[in-house]
Amino acid sequence: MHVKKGDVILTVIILLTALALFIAFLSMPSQNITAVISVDGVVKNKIVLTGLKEPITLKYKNLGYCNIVQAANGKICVESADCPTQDCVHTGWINRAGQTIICLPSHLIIKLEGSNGKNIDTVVG
Amino acid sequence: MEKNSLNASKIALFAILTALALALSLLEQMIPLGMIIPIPGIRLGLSNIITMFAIFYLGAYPALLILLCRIFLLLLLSGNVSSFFLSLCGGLLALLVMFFLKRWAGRYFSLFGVSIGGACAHNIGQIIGASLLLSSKAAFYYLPVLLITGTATGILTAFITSALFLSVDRSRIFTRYHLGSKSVR
Ligand SMILES: [Zn+2]
Repeated sequence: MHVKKGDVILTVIILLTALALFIAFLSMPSQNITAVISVDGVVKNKIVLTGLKEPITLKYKNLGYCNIVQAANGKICVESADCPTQDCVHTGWINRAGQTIICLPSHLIIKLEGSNGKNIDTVVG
Repeated sequence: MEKNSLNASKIALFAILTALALALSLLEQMIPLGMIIPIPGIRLGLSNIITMFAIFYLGAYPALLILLCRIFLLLLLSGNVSSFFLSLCGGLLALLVMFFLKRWAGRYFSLFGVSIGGACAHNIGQIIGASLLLSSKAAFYYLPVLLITGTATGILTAFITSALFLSVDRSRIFTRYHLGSKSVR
């Protein structure tokens, strides 16, 4: 079986799209990293991670699952969870704007947002 | 009489292919790919081999039937509703894309293009499914990584599938039993 022209063009288009998206993520504003934590599409907490003095541990319960989230200076992770696949735990620490942790079974999303300059008030609810 | 026996052999073939696809789905669940690339629903896409085989040898409708049976049986075995929904979204989009790529197979695309397109379409379908489940576009963050892993797994399954096609053509099972048309490659 021979590889055809269409195969090569398709592969190049896919890989270029992936590259363009990577560059778009890398060029996001990188200061004042804020973690936006939402459950079922509803924002529950916004935590400014940059300059966070003491680590914060948060607990989210939804759909019979529980996620323990740990926030520290400039980074955040799901420390432990009782979801079956453990993808959220395996993601580990995230620290760059645009990075996301998703726990599909519990519908938990942690998304990092950045800004250029300016301080935002820490909101812990 | 002969028509009935033909139907029976087709039903048997569909059942065998469904069982094979199901076994491949269960097999890839045992491969902890999520440990290396922690993305919800990431997989090797081995059951795509069966979908491609069905598209090439049996047509779009049997391929759809086998796909739906496999996904539904997987739900019965795992009881995981959210992964059922993701498999359904991914599987249907992959089938659609592979069918249209196959239509131009002889001219523009080989099995490799069909396989890569199908694997990436599967991943995009899963992201769309996850977005619906999560009521958020957050899952699109994984799109670049999933496009690259889709290309890699698409190439892998294309190699396996081309070996499968070769041995099926050699065995002449399909010409002997008049099961569908011979593939166009
Ligand atoms: Zn999880």
